[in-house]
Amino acid sequence: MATNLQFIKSASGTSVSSLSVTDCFSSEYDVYNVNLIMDGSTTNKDIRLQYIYSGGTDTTANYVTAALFQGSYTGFIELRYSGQSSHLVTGYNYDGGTGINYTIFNPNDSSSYTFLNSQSSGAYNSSGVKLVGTKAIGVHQVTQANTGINIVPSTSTLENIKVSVYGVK
Amino acid sequence: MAGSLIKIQEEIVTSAVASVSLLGINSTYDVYKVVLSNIATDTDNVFLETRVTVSGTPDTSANYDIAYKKFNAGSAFTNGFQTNLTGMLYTPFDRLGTAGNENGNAIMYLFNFNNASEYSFLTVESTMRDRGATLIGEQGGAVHTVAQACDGLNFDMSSGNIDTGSTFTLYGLKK
Repeated sequence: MATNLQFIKSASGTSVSSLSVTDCFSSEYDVYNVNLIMDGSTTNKDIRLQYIYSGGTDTTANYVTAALFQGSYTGFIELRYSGQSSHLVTGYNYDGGTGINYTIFNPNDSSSYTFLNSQSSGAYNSSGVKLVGTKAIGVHQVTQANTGINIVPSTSTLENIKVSVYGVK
Repeated sequence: MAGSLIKIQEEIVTSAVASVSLLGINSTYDVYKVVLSNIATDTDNVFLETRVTVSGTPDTSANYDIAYKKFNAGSAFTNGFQTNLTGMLYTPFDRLGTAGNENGNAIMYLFNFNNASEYSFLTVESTMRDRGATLIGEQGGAVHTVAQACDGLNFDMSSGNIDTGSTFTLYGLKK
């Protein structure tokens, strides 16, 4: 019996300022599962997501995100961002690495907004390496057919990053 | 290599309907996954109601408990929790609207639904724009506190209909 979680493509990079996965969204699927793994470095940063469309990477101020910062060393923190050029804080990265899982709804539908759920577990610097997880929701408030994603750090580079995209048929 | 996510039923709403049922839960799989995509309403300010089904019929007995963290891009996050409801109200979505893109998306995992000697549990994670166009999401779960075998889920709106374009899909996770 055929599976209904179908691998589409992956991309990887080493010490890159961003990583794009192009042409991974199409009309063939409504819902996508995206997994990200990466090593760490000694620069504290959050991991952000942007969409790619026919005009390139969309950096217009149409990303809305709400996230819960779940630190092992502190109280949880609510984060809210609107009118941003990316989905901020979909994960954190420091010396030790990070993993993120995204579920993306209807990215290629030019008549609807693109919604996102994400959860992450990673390293964060607060007087040393600490565990930080995030759960986030997002909406990209543009009715356009997005065809891919671009992963970008708040600062520094992405170390030994691999992103895999699956379609949920 | 054969995969492990198996589609059982998909319902794509092509004209407004009062309710949608996803059926086919049995002993084949231990865990089931439900994907809700682009869920829309034809009536403003209503929420999706979710109920288990027994032999295809929604169970409306007052035995549903819910608990979730509500994410909100416009104000402080809140906790939602209620017991002994007649359905999973406000789960997985808060109030939907009829303005553009005020719709919802969610992933649910279902546990023990076919087990006649245990309760039926599910987890929820959702992302939506509510009736005021605010980004909202829920992370939580629900339980139907009756030890019985359930064969699916039924969805309806607290008022009005489920609108065109809403997609409901049930998958099994292969053992």
